[in-house]
Amino acid sequence: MSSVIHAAAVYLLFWVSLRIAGRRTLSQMTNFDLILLLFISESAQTSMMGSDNSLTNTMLVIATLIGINVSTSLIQRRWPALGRYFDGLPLVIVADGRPFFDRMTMARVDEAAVLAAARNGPGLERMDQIRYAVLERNGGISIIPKENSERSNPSGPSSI
Amino acid sequence: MDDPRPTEQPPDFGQDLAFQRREWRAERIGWLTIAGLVLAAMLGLLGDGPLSSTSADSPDGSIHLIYQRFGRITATQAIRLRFRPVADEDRRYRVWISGAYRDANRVPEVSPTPEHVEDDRGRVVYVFRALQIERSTEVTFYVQPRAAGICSGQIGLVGGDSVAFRQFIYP
Repeated sequence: MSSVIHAAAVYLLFWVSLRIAGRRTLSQMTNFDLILLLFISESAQTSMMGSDNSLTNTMLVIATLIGINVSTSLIQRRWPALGRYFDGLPLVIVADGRPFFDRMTMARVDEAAVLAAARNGPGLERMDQIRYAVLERNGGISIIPKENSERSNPSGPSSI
Repeated sequence: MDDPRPTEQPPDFGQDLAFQRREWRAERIGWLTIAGLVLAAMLGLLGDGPLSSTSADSPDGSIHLIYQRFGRITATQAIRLRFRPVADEDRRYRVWISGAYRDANRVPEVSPTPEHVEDDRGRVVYVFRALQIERSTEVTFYVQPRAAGICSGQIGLVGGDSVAFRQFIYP
């Protein structure tokens, strides 16, 4: 029983922590972020497993984590309005080439990140070529180019 | 917010600015909570630290106990006992711990190493050999709490005084 409770508590702790950290925190995985994630999972592992390294306990912990994950997706399908509490909502950060600086500040996105997304995706060079930039639920930035903008890589809307 | 208006009605992509602002507010409260947790941990409110470390004396002042107010389940903590030894004729002194406290904690190590351990009417007695009768002796019990919650204990000398203490163990 304690394995299930511990795994559920760790899941909840992770969910709250990642929501608090904001969607941009781990969306662009740098080398350091990757190591940070490994440290976090390592520290959570002992709490979930305790001193019981049996196959049964491992199975229980995995079953609990996957079970909760599936349940949350089912809940989101059944009650779509709750989805925003799990993953947040998209946010328009640039419209018609003009950045919403207050939104970007609050979401911790800078102009350089938007321009990087614009280069990586549709191959845009300047802010005024962007019709919309949207900060997605997963922390990536989607770029929708203006129709008349000249592009070096016209692959359409994309997200990094 | 300064919404620049595009030339036509903009798609909203499912955004909800009121919800977004509430989310940002919750995010900032979360940051403050994390900072508070770290500060509380540094101060010792979540385990070892300056506000956790405390001591208690027996009524006659012969025993001085140093322990942590706050502990964490399975984490090792030291309980230090300083006392004027009451040695028996066989040049041994006996320190006892209440059975309930002993049951609530693992004791992986005791320093100095006791000669042997015996049960005595609900108490666990650690018998030490007194190489010489010193004016003050220190015994350290390294304990690991088995359960979360309030943990009360009593520790004393056979034939001497005792001191009661209480800890809170975090899960």
